Amino acid sequence: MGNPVGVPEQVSALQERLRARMAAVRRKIAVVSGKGGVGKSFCAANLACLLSDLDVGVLDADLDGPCISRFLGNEPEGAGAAARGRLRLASVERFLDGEDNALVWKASPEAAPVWGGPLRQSMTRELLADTEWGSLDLLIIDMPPSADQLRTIAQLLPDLDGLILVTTPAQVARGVVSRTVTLADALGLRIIGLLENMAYLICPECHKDLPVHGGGPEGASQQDFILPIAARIPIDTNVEQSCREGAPFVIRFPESPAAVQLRAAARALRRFLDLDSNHQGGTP
Amino acid sequence: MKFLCEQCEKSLECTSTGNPSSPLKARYQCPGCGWSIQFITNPGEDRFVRSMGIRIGGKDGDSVPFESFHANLAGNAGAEGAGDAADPTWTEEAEARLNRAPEFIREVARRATESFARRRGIERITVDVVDETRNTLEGGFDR
Repeated sequence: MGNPVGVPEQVSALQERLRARMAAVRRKIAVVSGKGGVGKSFCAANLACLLSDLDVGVLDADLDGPCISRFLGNEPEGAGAAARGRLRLASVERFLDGEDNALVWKASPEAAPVWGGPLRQSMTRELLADTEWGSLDLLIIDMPPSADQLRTIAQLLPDLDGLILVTTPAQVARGVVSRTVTLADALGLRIIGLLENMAYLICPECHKDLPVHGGGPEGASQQDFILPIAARIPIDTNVEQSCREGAPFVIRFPESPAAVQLRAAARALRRFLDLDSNHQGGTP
Repeated sequence: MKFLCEQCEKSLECTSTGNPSSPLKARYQCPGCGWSIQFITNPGEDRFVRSMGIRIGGKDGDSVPFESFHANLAGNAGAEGAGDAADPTWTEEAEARLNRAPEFIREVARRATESFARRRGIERITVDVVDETRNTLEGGFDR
């Protein structure tokens, strides 16, 4: 019968494993929206790249639709975190063989509504706790569209430094993001930034801004956004090209208006989280 | 969990547990009179507890990193049973029929047809199979 340990001890051990791993992570933020397809992974990946002179970890918390590695130009490889320079990535993709595969459980799906939720929470916890992040200045968590996972992250990481919301100007996206703001407030999570992605299209002919999803706050200054981290990121057709070439967008097209906006957001994030202080320089 | 022998007023002792795979069996015995009971857990409840990262029957070894992934993910072949059959092959005519579809839908149409063929044990996709797939999908869920 071995040496059995009771449930309370097992729960404590799991919590301690996570706490010990996260003790070496100075700042933690989550990139959220509540709505799919607004560009969370694109924004999270490019912010991570722009801060990769620091020790930055990226957790793709989207268990069903992981894709941040495409934006990082980082092919899935091996188990655990793939060190790419000083950027470390953890994703469920490491457990899936090929792009077409999905989370499919061994067990019969009949009772999945009962055990599926706790299992997903366990997997998210393990991605956080079992990945060998090393010492990090910042951990960026790219959240899935489901708002439910926000509860999981709030529970797992009570010292989360804040949320960066990603939306588009489309009314339907703003509506859902507004619900996420309400949920974040209920969970005691602080919203530190808003990125309006796909905010406008720059006409290739006349170079005017075309508000494809509706109007935006033209002429608004950084102070007008109230939140410390804010940017309006235009649609850029080169995003797809950078993914195909396996290069992060901000590295491949650094002078594009979208990259300029992302750089401003990264600078604001660096300042707000005071990322440069106490940074000793980690191991590459 | 504790059990009491009403006759002896002593706590029953756990004397054995079965294989800690679902369903778990455990035997409790009174140290006074030797009376014993066994209980068997419900498989659904077992799975629920395991899904939280708890090992039923206790942990008697070091934790395995990413244990939930290793213990719960099916093989990479996809859904249960879906990967059992070999991928069906396409005839040239069927490929040509597929290529008549608009480019944006072609890949999904290909996979839907292959899935249809696998479910029916069809190894070679002909134009008829493509059309049958289409007709079935058009027919809705009652077909």
